[in-house]
Amino acid sequence: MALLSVSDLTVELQTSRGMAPAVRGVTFDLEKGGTLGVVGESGCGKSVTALAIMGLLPDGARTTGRIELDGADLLALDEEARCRIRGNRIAMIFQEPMTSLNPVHRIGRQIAEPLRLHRGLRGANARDEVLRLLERVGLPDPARRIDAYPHQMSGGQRQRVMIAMALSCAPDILLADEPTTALDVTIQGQILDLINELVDDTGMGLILISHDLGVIGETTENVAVMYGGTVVEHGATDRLFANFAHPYSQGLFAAIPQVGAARTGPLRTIPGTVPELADLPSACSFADRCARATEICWRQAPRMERIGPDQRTACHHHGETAA
Amino acid sequence: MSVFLARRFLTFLITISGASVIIFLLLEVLPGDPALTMLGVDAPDSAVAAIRLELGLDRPAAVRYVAWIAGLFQGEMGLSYVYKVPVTELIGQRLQVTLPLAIGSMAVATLTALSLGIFAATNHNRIGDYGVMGFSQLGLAIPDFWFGILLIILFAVILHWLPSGGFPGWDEGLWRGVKSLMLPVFTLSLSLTAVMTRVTRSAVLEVAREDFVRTARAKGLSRRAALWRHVLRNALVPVLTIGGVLVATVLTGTLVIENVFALPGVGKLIFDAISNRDLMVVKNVVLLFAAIVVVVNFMVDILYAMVDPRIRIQT
Repeated sequence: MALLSVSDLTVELQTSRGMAPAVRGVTFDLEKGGTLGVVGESGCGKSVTALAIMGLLPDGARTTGRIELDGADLLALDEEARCRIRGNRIAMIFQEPMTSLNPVHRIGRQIAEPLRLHRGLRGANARDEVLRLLERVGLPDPARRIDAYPHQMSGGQRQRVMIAMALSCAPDILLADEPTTALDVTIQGQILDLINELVDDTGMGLILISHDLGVIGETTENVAVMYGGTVVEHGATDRLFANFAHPYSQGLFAAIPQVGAARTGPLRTIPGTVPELADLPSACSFADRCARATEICWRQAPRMERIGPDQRTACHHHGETAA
Repeated sequence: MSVFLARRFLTFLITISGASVIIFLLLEVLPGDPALTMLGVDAPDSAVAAIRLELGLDRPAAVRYVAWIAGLFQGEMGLSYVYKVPVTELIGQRLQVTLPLAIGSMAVATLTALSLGIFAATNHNRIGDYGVMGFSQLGLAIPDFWFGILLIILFAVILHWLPSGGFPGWDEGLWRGVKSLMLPVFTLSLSLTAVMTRVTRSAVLEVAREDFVRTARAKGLSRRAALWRHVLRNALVPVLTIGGVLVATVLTGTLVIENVFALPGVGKLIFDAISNRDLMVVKNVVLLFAAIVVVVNFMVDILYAMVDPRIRIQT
């Protein structure tokens, strides 16, 4: 049995134009200690999927489907039970380390909060544990920094603090939503290395969300490519990177600038823009930006099909070569 | 810290000096001669001149200004033209009414506004929120003297629970004093509560949307725990700001309220003093009000730094 099993997850969000589907029928599994990368452009539903797993969707959101942790459906639990899972069995780190920490509390206190909440640690015990965590995430001079305020730290240091906080209760799953996007490139590498190292050491599962296929390719065993609120391609990272089948994934892959490769023309892009949630086409959501789209793509939503070992895609034309 | 205090004290002196000049000049150009007001317009010139000499009004304005300020440094505010007693003594007596009235109103307003504002924010766009906002709209719209009269009709005339006005003095027992200040305190706190409720509500709503509140929830904190531990302290800064500003509103409000409830406070004192051209009282009371406002806002600045570590006390 998978540690985390998301099946047919649908999330509708309240917008000024009524309820709009942000996630439509997302399905994936995460094995114990497994790593999954979720990739896609802004607005494709990847963050909403993560927030749905955490149970932290904005007010008025409607969720259907199943999110099972060790076989128990999280969506069936009450708020109190979900609070016991958050930060304890499933922890999350966010994109913006600058704003994700409370500016008026010392970081030691903020890291100690889940320790007190889930493990009942207080006083000197909690402080010792916080020091150990800060050391573990590689924050220099933890004994001094434990009493610092967030504004006294750099972005990379704050993200380390966020990671320490997420790690505090030894979660089974770490959700990392664009953890490096707001950081300098050199710091990005350090933070990704740290996350990889912690995943290896602790055996926790990782769901890494990114718009950057390059980051995903280096970090996770499996990849789910999302577009328009659905998973359009899913499988083992090495298989997918060897042969992306969905035209959207191919477009994303082609858009990665190759360092050292001769620049023979402008950067490759995918034509068009991400559709607004409320305007999503009802059949294949990528049809209006796809070079291969034919009449069937406008009429019928493609189903996820197995196209090889460890690779599934949702495209009517996946067998055809790229246009 | 001591550098900070010294700097702030200097600022205080400069502000108060400026205020004293403005107050003095305003009273100079204010029509109405104190001597004539005391004696009546038909008084013979010789009598008027004698009074002017007695009050020191024959001296040039600059000399009188310097004499006033020099007196202040020695703790002297001069003699009231009308009551013939030291102004310090008058103010001291009257503050026994006005200070409890002002502090009580601020306290009632702050407690009510924080509770209502938090309640409205946590029930955002629900009936409780609309109810609180409706109440606050009313509180802003109702003139306080009229609200005071309504309270008198209900609690004094109809129910006989509380006195309609007047103040027996603290010697008559604490409870009697408190009772006679209850209606004035509620009246004065009405518009303060309305303003602070709105500020609290919008501050809580704004902070609740911050990323760090989502982080707090992601740690497993309940909505309520996240509100108490992470939202409120951050939401206090705008509430403190408006609280500091409202102190001036409270002080001017005492003028109206003490008249409605016939309370022998500083507000009533200054009202009567203006009517009687008792300029010695007027200028000292106004300067005292100015000093209170400046000191309170200085305390607000210190509170800022205590609430939010990003606001460093500038040295």
